[in-house]
Order: sequence, then structure tokens, then C-alpha cells
Amino acid sequence: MKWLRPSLSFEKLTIYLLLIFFALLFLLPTFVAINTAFKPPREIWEVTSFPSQVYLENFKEGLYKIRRGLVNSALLAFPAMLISTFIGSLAAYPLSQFKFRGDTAVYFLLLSGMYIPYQTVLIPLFFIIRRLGLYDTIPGLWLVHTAYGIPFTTLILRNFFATVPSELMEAAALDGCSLIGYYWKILLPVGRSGIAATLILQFRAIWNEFLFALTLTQSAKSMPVTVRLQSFVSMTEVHWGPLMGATLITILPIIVVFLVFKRYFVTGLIGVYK
Amino acid sequence: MKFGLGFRQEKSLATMLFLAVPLSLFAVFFFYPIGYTLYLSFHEWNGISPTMNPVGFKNYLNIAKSPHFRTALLNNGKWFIFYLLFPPGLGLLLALLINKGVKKGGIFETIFFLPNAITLIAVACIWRWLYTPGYGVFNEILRRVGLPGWTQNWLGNPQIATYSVMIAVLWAEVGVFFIIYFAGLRNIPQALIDAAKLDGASSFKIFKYITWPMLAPSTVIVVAFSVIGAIKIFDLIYALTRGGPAYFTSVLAVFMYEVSFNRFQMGQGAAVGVILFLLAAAVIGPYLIYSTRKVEAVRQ
Repeated sequence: MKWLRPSLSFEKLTIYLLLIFFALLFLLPTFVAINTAFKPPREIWEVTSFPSQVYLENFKEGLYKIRRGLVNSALLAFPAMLISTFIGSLAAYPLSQFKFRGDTAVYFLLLSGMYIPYQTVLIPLFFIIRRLGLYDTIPGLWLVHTAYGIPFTTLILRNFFATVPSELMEAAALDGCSLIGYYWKILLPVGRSGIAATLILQFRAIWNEFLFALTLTQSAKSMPVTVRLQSFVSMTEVHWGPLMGATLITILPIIVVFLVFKRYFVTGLIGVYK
Repeated sequence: MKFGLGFRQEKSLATMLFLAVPLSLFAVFFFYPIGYTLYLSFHEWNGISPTMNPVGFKNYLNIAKSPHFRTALLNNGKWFIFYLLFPPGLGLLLALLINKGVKKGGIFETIFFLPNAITLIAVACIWRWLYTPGYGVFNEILRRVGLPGWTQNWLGNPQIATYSVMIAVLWAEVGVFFIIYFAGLRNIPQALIDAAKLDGASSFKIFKYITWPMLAPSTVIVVAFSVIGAIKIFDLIYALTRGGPAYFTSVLAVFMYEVSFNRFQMGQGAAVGVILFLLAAAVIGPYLIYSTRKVEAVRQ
């Protein structure tokens, strides 16, 4: 009588229904944003209906408003993710491969750095960046993201590098490889999936960052897209159609990166906390 | 050995060489500003004038008297409770559901994590639209399902505005809590659970005596995440309400920004910065020590 047994047990069915319920709840805000972005102005306030036509003006107008911010964010995020990952890999090498005096202290400091409220450093940072002539410039933000990225990039790469077996270093040393050569020729290539995860997570962190961008830029020539978008939503009269268009354009690169590199996102996020 | 120097000397040379740049940057951008903020908190300064007035503890006393500060501190307390209960609770629930071996689990993973991948400013844009008073999305949905009495000025009513922001934060941040618990669940050996099932243990008992204790390492990380999240919260509040109406949804980080960069009371702003630092140290300090000891133990 096997054919009489339902293929889905009652428990499984409940689980699926619950998951679908939560999934719909989670999708609702994004769905509403997309729905609104495709509506012509006269339909914007009919919030529970679908657009009567595919209206693209919102994306055009939204893109027009944030175009400079998008360019600035790209000019900020790509170099800053490379520099900050590189600097992190430098510190991660000795921390993962050697025992040295003060190694625990260095680890403790870096870990603390991950949790510091940035408001504690914000005022002096503002004046350091001004003094360096980097206020309201993109290179200024490269520097800031590199410096404040050090705890995260170092610890995540340290954990990835730590999985490289130490016999590899002994073998390399016997073959006459110097310790600097070991970093370039062995550690970086062997740790490449960790480096990829770090690059991706840094790209996301820098693209999404708001507080430093808000404090250290003031003109359109250097303002990242998050600050532009924020000034857009804070206006007294918000044009919701174009705003939703601009919002979707802003998050599109990250969504693509996430969907393509999901595995790195997840292993990286978990990798920091080993 | 081909090394000109002894292996040991080369090791310590390489250590110094590789740590030089990262640690210098760390010193300039962490140590120096923290010290300077502490110094500044005992002075009066508008950010422009060439001189600073030493004022002792006056900045701290002024802050303590300010109702804005007290509301902000109280709100950080509310966020603390929120962060400890809801994102971990929902994250664990979702992880447990998916871990029951559903097909297409990857799709659910993506859906629950996606809000966590995008910028909080975009989250604020979307939720301001959802929360629009009068004929906004949530209010319309409530009318449609026959609950017109439940419509609200979600972000404008001081009684509920902070809770409205919390729901947006839950949506935006539960993903990372979910991912941490999900990874933790995967590390539990299935044999252990199968054995308990064979012995006739109920789902609840399995959770209580096997799953939950074995998730302890994940819970430690999650709690660290929660408590620091409650201290650091800024972006979403700043972009959604600017701390308003009046300052009813403000938190210390928003208060600090307003005082320093809108009112140019750098001394007072620095004092709030110091208070935030001390709060962060108090809540995260035990985790930092625990985590460092664990790493030390592994190395020995």
C-alpha cells in the first residue's frame, strides 16, 4: 500500500509552508520597490495595483540624479577593495604563519578594531583627512577604507591562510624560497579563494558605506552614491517613482555580485569568526 | 638551508616587514583618533577656532542634562534588547527550517540573505515608501485586509517610530544571523541526531539537548554581533528619521553626529564618542578576551 502514503510528510509540508510564508514576507519590500519604479506618476499612489504599462522614465530620471554618485562609488570601491585586501594580506601572513612576540596582542587589537564605534574616531579623522588635503576627494576615502578595513581584511585572510599546511613552508624553505618569496609565490596563490572572498566582501562594504562618505565628502565631484541617495530621500517632497528607480539602480551591482559569488559571500562572512 | 640569515632572524625580519604598514595605519587611524577624542572631550571647541578651551568635565555634565541624550541612551537600550531577541531568534528559526533538508534550500537562503547584501540607505528608501503615512503601502494593505483601525503614521508617531525602524532593521539584518546559525547547524554531526531519533527523542528534546548546546559557538558570535549592533546603529536611523520626530528615535551615534557636525560642538561630540567607546568596550570586551584566548589555545 506504499502508493497511498503521501510523498510529503505533514512535517515537511508545514516546513515548506512556513518557509514560503517567510520568503514572501522578505520579498515584499523589494517587490513593492520594483512595482513602484515601473509606474507612471498618476499611478504611484495606487499602491496595491500593478503598473498599467511598462514605464521606464523613473529609471531614467533616477539614474540622471545619481549618475555622478555611481561613477564616484565605482572609482572609490574598485581601488579601495584592492588596496585594503592587499594591506590585509600583508598583516595576515605573519599572523597566520609564525609565532612571534606580541602576536596575541596584535590579534586582540585587530579584533577590537572590528567592533569600534566609528563615532569615537570621527572628529579627529575629519581633521586628519583635511590636514592631508584629502577632504572631499575619492583618494581620501580609499585611505579611510583601507585603514578601517585592516581589522576585517587581516582577520579573514589570517583564517584562510591558517589552513595552508605548515609543511608547505618548510618544503619551500628547503627549496631555497625566501620568506618574502613564500608570500608571493605560494601563500597568495594557495589562498586565492580567501582573497576572492575578501575582495568581494570589501567591495560590498565600501559600495554600501555611508558614515565616512557623509562626513568626508561634500561636493558632487566626490560624493558616493549612498550619500546622493540619502539626500534624495530626505527631501521634503520626495518623487517616489524616480527614487525607487534610483534605489534599484544603486543596489543592482551588489545583487549581481551576490548572486554570482554567493559562495564566497557566505564562506567569507563565516570565515572571519573562526 | 639556503638562508643567509638564520631562519629565525629571517622570520622576525619578515614579521616586522609585513606588519609595518598595516600596524602604522592602525596606529594613525585607531590609536591616535581615540586618544584625541578623549582629549577633545575635556575641551570646548567649535572646530574652527585655533584655540581650545579646557573645561574639565563640563561637556559630560552638559550631556547628562540634555533630554536628547537621555532619550538616545534609552533608545540604545531598546535596541540592545531588540538585537538580542529578534534577529537571532528569527535567524535561528529560518536556519532550522531550511536545515530540515528541504529541496531548493538555496533559493530560500538567497531570499533571506539578500536584504543584508544591499546598502542600508537603499533599505531606508524602500521602507520610507512602505511607511508613508496616510495612503502608503502598509496602510493600504491594512485597509485592504479589513484592518483600517491599524493604519499608522509609522515613522511620525513618537510612540511607535523606533519600533517601525526595528522592523526595517530586522528585514535588513536577519540574513547574517541566519547564515551564522545555518553554518553552525551544518557542523552538527547528523549521526548524533539520528542516534537520538532512534532512541525515540522528540524534536524538541533533540533541539534542547543536542542542537542548541552544539550551536553555542555560533551563539557566541551572534551575541557579539547583536550587542555591538545595538551600540553602533546609525545609518538606517539617520536615513529613515534623522532621529525624529523631534529626537524620539535618536540614538547615541546619531546624537554624536548632530552635535559635532551640525552644531559644531566638537567637545560635546567627542564626549559622546567616548561614552560610545566605553559602552562598546563593556559589551564586547568579554567576547574579545574569550575569542583571543581561544586563538591562543589553538596555537599552543
